[in-house]
Amino acid sequence: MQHFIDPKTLARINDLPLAAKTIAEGFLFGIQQSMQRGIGIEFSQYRAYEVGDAINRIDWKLFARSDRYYIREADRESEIDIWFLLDSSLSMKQSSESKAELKNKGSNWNKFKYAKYLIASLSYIAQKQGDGFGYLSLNDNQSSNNGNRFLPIGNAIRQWQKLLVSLAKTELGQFFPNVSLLQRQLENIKKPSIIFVISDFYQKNDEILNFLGKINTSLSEVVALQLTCEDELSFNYKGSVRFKDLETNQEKLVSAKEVKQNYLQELQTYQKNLQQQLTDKGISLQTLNIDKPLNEALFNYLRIRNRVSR
Amino acid sequence: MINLPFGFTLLNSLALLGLLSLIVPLIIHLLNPNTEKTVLIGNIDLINKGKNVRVLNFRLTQWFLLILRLLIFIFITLILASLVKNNEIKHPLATHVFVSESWLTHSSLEEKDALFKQYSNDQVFLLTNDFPKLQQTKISRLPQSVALGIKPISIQSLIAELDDSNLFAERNIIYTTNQTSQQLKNKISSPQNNIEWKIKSLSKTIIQDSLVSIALFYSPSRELDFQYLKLGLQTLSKFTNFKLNISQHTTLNLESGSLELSENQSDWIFWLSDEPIHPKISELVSLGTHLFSDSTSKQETITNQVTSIKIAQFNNRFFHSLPKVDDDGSTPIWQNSNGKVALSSTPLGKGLHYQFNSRFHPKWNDLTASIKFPLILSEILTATKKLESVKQISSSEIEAYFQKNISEEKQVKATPVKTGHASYQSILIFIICLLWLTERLVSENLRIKS
Repeated sequence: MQHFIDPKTLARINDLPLAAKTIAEGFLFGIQQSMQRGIGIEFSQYRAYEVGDAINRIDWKLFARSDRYYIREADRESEIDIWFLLDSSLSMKQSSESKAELKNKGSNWNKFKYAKYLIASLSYIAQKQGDGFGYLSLNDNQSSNNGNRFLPIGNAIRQWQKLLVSLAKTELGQFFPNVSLLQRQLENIKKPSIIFVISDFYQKNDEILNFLGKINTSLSEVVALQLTCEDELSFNYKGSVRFKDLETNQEKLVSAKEVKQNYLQELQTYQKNLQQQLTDKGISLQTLNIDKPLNEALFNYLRIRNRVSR
Repeated sequence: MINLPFGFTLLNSLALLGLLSLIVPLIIHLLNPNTEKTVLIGNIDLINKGKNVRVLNFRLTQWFLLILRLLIFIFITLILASLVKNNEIKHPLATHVFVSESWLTHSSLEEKDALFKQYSNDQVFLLTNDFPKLQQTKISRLPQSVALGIKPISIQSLIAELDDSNLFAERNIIYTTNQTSQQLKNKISSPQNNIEWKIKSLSKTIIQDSLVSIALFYSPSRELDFQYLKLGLQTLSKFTNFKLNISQHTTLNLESGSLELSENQSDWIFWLSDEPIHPKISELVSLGTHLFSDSTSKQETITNQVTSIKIAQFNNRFFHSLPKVDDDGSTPIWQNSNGKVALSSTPLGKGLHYQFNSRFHPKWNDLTASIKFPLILSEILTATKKLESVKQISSSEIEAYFQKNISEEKQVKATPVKTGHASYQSILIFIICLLWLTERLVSENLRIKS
């Protein structure tokens, strides 16, 4: 698995479709069967008749035109919808800035960007699997690109392309939105669904947990993907550092060495509480380090999908 | 060489280029990775729950380190630039006391004792108007063995020395009388804020005695000499408190009998003529008048010419021997560099006959061209001026007085006045070591903390 391409390296290409395809196809290579095709409504392709194929699947109109036997294939319709809910509050702009990460500073790699690559890669796999998928951006910015932050369920390659457009146009808002603002979009979640909530899970008044409680119904399985970065986990700062909160702009000047131990304890406590609260709601939590490849996230997706579809 | 305040001097000014090295600690300070940086974070609550740190202390330490490093480089530069303190200006003793002959003459024994006791630990200089006794002497510090060689400082020499600031101490006290104080004050061009004047007031009758009557006799062929001498005397009268009553006569007047001379008419007679001294003049001298005559023969011109006369060498601190009476009864006063007598005095009855083996003429010597010419004349006049109301003590008496008062215990070896420069190199190196150690301590402490 070490052959996975580091998303940060791909990010320099600055081409989301290419990067997502490369990640996903590299991941799928040799471990996943190709897309299931068969009888359905949505046309996929023609293929030559082979012995063993049912005769009623032969497209006779095409036979009349070409004098050859062709089987008409359609994409298999999936029973599962995949929802990607992206927390696009300002705190998602956090990145690793410590000395060890300076070399990647030029790529402007942060949680938000990682999340976009993650969604693009996951949705590509979903599209390959024939699953329907939709997208919702979560921030309190009502004024701009409202149409782009919600993509209803669809499938096939065109849906993936739409999703990429939506992702590209999604911008960061200030805070995590109130649930009431999302009421209309959430009504679309009706079928059995896997809902990926991608966030840093930094909240002021449990707004994210409340939101998860709302969408966590008997029909859906919610997967919380928490994004962290190397600096956040190991606190690799030195000297006097002025920390500035991305959302509230609150500042604090501290000596990194003196607060490190306390910070790590606080972080551990925070994670433990979050894990506990999510478990209570029956939601699985996976923590992803944005400075590491995406493989864990993709494996997790396939594992959950297989479990749900059984 | 660059002079700094408080008497410090940098001998090697080029080394000041080393101050450019101050850029190094400045760059270190600016590029210090420990300097404050801003980090954007998603949830500041995790930091807020941490304990507050003394960031101000941290910053102050950074500044303190910068100052330490700058100081180290500055002191290194000072070492390279050879920082010294100039010792030439100040004497090791804080007080110099100058006592004029006039003050000693008019003071009681008690006053002299009090003065001597008060300044027994200070350098005391004797100011004398006696012309041949020129050189400065630290009277109270001379060993017994050289007592005979004591040569008090002359007023003229003092003036020259004070102008050069060589005799100045931090505190200078001049004991004199109102008879000579004005003359001294006028001639000291240096700042006088560190000079205390102790002026003894003398009665008017005494001061009036300083009025000197001078009769100038000259032959027509010596018109130029006469003019130089007259100008010198007039200048002296104008700029000092000497009250000179100058009368001028040609020798022709004397010979023709048109001039009557009386005993009390003149204190001094200057005879500028190739002719022998007129009998009438000699008669007056024998009654108490002083006579000054110059060379009559051209032959002496060569030997007495130019600056070899020692009076012109005061500024060079020329040591002059005490006058000794020759076999013929004359006392040599000036000598030229060859040791030949330039000026001598011979008693003539009650008066003195000063024989000058040269002339006040530019072709003979450069005395007349010297700016000190009037002062030279004043030395001659005051040395022999009669003060009838007060007994005038001689220099030898003063010397004897001081010698008597110097007990064996008080005598110390004459310590040479320190000149040159005191180097501060070892002190600077010590300071640099201290600064460096402090810098290391603070720096390491800071590194451990951060």
